[in-house]
Amino acid sequence: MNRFILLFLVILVSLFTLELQTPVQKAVIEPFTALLAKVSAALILPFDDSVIAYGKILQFGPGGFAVSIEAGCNGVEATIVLISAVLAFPATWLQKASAIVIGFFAIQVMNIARIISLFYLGDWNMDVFSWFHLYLWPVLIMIDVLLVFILYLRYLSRQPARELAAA
Amino acid sequence: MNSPQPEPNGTRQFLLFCLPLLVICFALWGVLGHLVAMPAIGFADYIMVNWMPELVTEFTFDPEGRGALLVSSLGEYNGRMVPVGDEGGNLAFIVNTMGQSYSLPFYTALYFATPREHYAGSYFRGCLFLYVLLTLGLVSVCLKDLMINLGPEFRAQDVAMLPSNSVIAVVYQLNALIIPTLGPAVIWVWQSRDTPVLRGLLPVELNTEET
Repeated sequence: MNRFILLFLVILVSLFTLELQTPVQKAVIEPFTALLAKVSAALILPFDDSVIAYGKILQFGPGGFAVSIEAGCNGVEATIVLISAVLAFPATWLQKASAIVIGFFAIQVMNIARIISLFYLGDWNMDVFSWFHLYLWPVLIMIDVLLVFILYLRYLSRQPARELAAA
Repeated sequence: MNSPQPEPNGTRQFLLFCLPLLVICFALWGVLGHLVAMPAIGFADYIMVNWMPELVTEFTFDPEGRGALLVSSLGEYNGRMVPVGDEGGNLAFIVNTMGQSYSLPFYTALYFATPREHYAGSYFRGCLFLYVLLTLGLVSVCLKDLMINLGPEFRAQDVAMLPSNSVIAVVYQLNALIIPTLGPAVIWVWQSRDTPVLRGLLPVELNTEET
């Protein structure tokens, strides 16, 4: 357990520092954030024609409430936490890679739900928007990460012992 | 040595209790507001005032309840930063403590959703750890606010062991984006490592490794 926590923290801080570097932001984080905005807009537009989307902004018609999806709202930090936990825990590389890919999609599904819900909450009430944006959604996203990791541990615990020994 | 038998419904009970407890804990935390962070504000005040008296006069609870008030030792006169005394009053910045303290209701919900034999003692130890993280988080927010709002004056003062702007930025981002949710989760995992919930999840070999 001690080894896991130490490894986890080292990988976490390294990946997080890497994420904040300007070249990484420009080449990976910003295009990915813009892609998230497009996906969110693509999901909303068929059901709500009052919404317009441009760049990383979703807006209720001209002059209406708008949200801009920024770095920090893209689930990347949650993904970094999951990647760090998965890499720090003993398993085969195939198991780790599978957990990271599946976990990434699980986090992003939750994150897109977050973006869409915040967009509608903000149009309704800014105080509620702030509460969900600043406090509740980050917790729910972390619970998502925990759940994915717990399910991954459950999966590992059911594997034959020799696979774990090989790791 | 035999490993303890995992309790089959421990995980289910945890998942069942976690969400309702989250709602209750966040409601209580919302009622208490910035008061929750008061001990951490006191510790952060001690650190900031003793570390950089040239920059910080006090870090205190905002009497109007908007959070904490970071009172700098500098004032502004005709667009210039000047030492407080002759001209104008201290520049002060409001810090939203709830952006850090929501770790407490999150931890409380995780902790009490987990079936365990004894509750009180380790819960208070966990809160103590979180208050340490909360204090460090508030210090990082103060450093970021001073760096951004005081501009060149921030570096012009004689402050020992002042981190570089990049370090302040990374530490602040870490405290804003990751620590308030990760801190409680890590403390919960550590404190729950011997509970049926986590024991049942760990692969067998690792489970018996430390027994």
